[in-house]
Amino acid sequence: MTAVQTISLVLVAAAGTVVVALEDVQRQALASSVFGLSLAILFFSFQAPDVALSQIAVGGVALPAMILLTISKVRRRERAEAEAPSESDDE
Amino acid sequence: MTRGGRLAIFAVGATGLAALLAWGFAGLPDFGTFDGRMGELISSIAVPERHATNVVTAVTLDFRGFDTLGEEFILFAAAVGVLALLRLARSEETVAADPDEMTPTAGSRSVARVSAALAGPAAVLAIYVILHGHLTPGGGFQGGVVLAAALLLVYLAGATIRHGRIKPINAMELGEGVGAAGFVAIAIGGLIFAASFLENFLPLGVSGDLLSAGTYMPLYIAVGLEVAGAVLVILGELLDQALLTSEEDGE
Repeated sequence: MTAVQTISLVLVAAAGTVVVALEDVQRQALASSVFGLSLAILFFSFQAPDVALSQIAVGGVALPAMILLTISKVRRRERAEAEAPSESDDE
Repeated sequence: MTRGGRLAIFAVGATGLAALLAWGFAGLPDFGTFDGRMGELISSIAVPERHATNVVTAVTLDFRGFDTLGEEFILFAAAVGVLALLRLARSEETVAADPDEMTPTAGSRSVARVSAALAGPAAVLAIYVILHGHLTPGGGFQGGVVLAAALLLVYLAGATIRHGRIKPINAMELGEGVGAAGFVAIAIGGLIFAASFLENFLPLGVSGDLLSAGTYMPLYIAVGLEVAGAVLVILGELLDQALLTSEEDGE
């Protein structure tokens, strides 16, 4: 195992642990982007550039963006329901 | 159940899992050993038989092309599902948002400038990655997601200029549909012009040329359109809701 492979394995383990350990979901989403990028480095160092490319785009950008948008949507709805409980809890 | 009881059950499960993992890892082949006869075979025939220098592409679009078709439609179905659910939710939406909440997406001028500067290069990179999928690492999936990211950058750059609808959601849906249908059409082309579904019926050309490896480039263009469309439809639906509420507040 080369030094780059060892370092990237450690990096993935550390980034993954950080994602799990963070309390705030918004921070978790951002940390998961860093985790995604470190996974891409791992794939690249193990000679899988095709997978690394998709991992950069999906794990680094698309997935965190979707999570962040979903969080903001859920929070907005929760806040609105807390402010006006009579209007929007027919379901 | 008491805390102690739960911990005892967890301890049994965790010990069992640890033991199974240790057993499994102990039986793994040594690091770096490769025992894939199929891999050796495909590596040796991909260039002479298919003229594709990126063997991964030969595998995904040819040797297991039917699985790729399935993967494409998984994504297609996911996007359609999100679309259906979120549109249903929107018609019922009576929620008014806090106007301050929208400022992070639209408020930062430096975000807009960096996005505007990066959008063009990202789009060029996406087109490169899609068109060179049969030659170098990359292809429709990777390029499609990069293309979606490039269009999102356009959106981010435009959001400060106008709180608006730069996002042509119909074009995204069209791209998604055309991509999914295009893949199937090319696959059926194999039935018509050659012997079987998904068979490579276009001239293979010279290995390493941009126009080589037959149907791989058109297939990847279809995949790229489908993936970019699906990702944008999903993100766009989520964003559209955010935008709708911000527009209502602005007035």
